[in-house]
Amino acid sequence: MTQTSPKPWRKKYRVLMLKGSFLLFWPGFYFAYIGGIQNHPLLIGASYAFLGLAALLAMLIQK
Amino acid sequence: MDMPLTIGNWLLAIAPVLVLISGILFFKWEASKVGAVSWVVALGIAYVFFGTDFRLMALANSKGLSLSLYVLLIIWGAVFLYNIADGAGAIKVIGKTMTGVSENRRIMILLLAWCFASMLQGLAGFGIPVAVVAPIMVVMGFEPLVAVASCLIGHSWSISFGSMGSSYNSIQLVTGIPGEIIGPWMAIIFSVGIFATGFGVAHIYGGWDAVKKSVPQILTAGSAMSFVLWFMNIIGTAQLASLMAAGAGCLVMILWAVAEKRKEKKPSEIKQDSNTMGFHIAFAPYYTLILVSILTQIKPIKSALSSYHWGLNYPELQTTFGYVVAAVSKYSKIQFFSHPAPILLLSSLVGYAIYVTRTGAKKSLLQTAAVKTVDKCIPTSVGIGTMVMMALIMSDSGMTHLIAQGIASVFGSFFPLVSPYIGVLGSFITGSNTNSNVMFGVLQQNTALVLGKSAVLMAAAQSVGGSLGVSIAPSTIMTGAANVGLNGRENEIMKVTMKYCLINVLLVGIFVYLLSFFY
Repeated sequence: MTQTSPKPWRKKYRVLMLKGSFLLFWPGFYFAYIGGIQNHPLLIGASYAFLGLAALLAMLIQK
Repeated sequence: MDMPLTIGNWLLAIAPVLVLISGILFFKWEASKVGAVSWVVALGIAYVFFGTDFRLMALANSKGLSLSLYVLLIIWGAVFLYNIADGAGAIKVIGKTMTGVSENRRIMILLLAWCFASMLQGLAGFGIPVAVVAPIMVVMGFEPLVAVASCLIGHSWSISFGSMGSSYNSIQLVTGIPGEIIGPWMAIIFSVGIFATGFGVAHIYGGWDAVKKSVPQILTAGSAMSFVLWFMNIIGTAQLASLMAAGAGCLVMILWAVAEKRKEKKPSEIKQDSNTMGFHIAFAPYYTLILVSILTQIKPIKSALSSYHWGLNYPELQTTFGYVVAAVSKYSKIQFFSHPAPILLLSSLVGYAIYVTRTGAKKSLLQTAAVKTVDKCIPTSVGIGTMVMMALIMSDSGMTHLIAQGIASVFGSFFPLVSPYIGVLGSFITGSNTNSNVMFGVLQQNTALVLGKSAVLMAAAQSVGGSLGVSIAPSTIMTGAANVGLNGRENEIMKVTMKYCLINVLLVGIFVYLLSFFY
C-alpha cells in the first residue's frame, strides 16, 4: 500500500497566504502615500514592511 | 543629467521585464509570484543603480496600487456580473443562443472575438471585452485557451479608440498633437492591425486552413471596420470610432453567418426550452451594461457626474541622476458613476433582480456569486498589484525611459519600424494603452524630431503599438485567465498571444516605415 506524502505547507496554505498578501497591500498603500507625501521615514518604512510581507507571501506559495 | 545610456545600464533597466517574462514563460510561476519577484528586482535595481530614494519608490508603489485599484475594481465587477449570470444559468442560455446564430464556428469566433469583443472595448474596455466574451465562448464549446487568446488578439485593434477614446486622448495630451491631425493617421495605421488581428483570430482557431477559408469574411468586415474607423475620425467623433467600426464589423459578420446558414439549408435548430429563460432575459444585465455605459458618456450626463470622483495628488520628484518625475493631480482618477465598476455592479444587481423575479433563481445567488468572486479574484489581484507597482518603479526611476532611448539609438533611421514595439513595451509593462502613451508618447515624438521623421506618424505608431500590445500584457491575460478558469496557466495564454502580437506589430511597423518616406 502506497502512502501519500503530506502536502507541503506552501501548497496547503496557498489560498490563505494569497488572501493575506492581498490584505497587506492596502495598509501598505496607505502608508506609502501618507509617508511619501509627508516625507516621514517611519511611515515609509511601515509601507515597505507591509508591502514586503505581502510580496514574501506571494513568493512563497506553491501551485 | 539623466542616467547615461550604456549597454550595462540598458540591461539593468530591462532586467525586471526579463525576470517577468522568464518567470511566466520558462519557470511557469504563477502571476502573483512572478509579479512579486519582479517588483523586488525592480526595487533593488532602482535603488542601487538608478539613484531612486525610498520616498520616491514609496510614492511609485502608491501610484502602482492606485492604478491597480482602478483595474481591480473592474475585474472584480466583471467577474461578479459573470458569476451572477452564470449562477442563474444565463450564461448557458447566451452560449446556446450564440451558437444558433451560425453553426460555423469559424465565423462565430470572428464575430465574437474580433468584432463583438471590440464593440465592448468601444463601450467600456478596461478588460471587460475579454472578461465578458471569453466565458461566453467557453460555454459555446470553444477551448478556454482558444477563447481567451482569440479575444485578446481579436479586440487589440480597438483599444486606442475604445473606452470612449481614453488612449487617443492621452497621446494628444502628452504630445500636444491635436486629435484631428493624429486621429486619422492612427486610423490609417490601424487598418493593418484590423486585418492582421482578424487573420490572427482565424489562425488561433484553425491554423492556415481557417485563415484561407476566412479571407472573404476578413476582407469584407475588415474593410468596413477600417473605413468606419477612419471616417469617424474625419468627422470628429473619434471617441466612438471603435464602437461604430466594430459595430459595422458585427453587422458584416452576421450577414456572413446568415448567408452560410442559408447555404447549409438547415432551419434554425434553436429550441427554447420551456423551463429555461429566454435570451433577452439572460442577456438583461449585459443590455444594462451597454445602455448605462452609453448613457454615462453623453456629454451633459458625463459632465454632471464628473465632479464625483476620487484620485490622489503626487508631487514632483527627482532621482539623484536628475530624472524628473512630473507632479500629477488626481492620479488614476476613479469616477464614482462612470467608472466601469459601479456600472458593472448596477448591471449585476439589475440582472439579479430580473433573474430572481422572472426565472425563479435562488435569492442566495447574490451571496454565492460574491463568495465565488472573492475566490477567483484574489490571486489575480495580487499579481496585478505587484506587476503594476513594478511598472511604476521602472517608470519613475527612469528605467523605462532608458529602455526606449536604447531602442531608438540602436535603430536610427529604421526607428519607424520599431516605434510600435515601444508602444507594445509600455503596454506590456503597465497593462494599459493609455499608460503606454503617457510613458512613451513624448519619447517617440522627440526621437522622431531628432531623426527627421514625422512626429505625428511616430506618435500614432506609439498608440497603435500600445493598443496591439495589450494582448500580451500580464494583467490583461490574468483578467482573461481568471474568467475562464485558467488561473495559474497564464504562461500558456501568453505563449499563444505573444507570437501573434509580435507578427501583427511587425506588419504595422513595416507599414509605418513605408509611410515615413511619404509623410
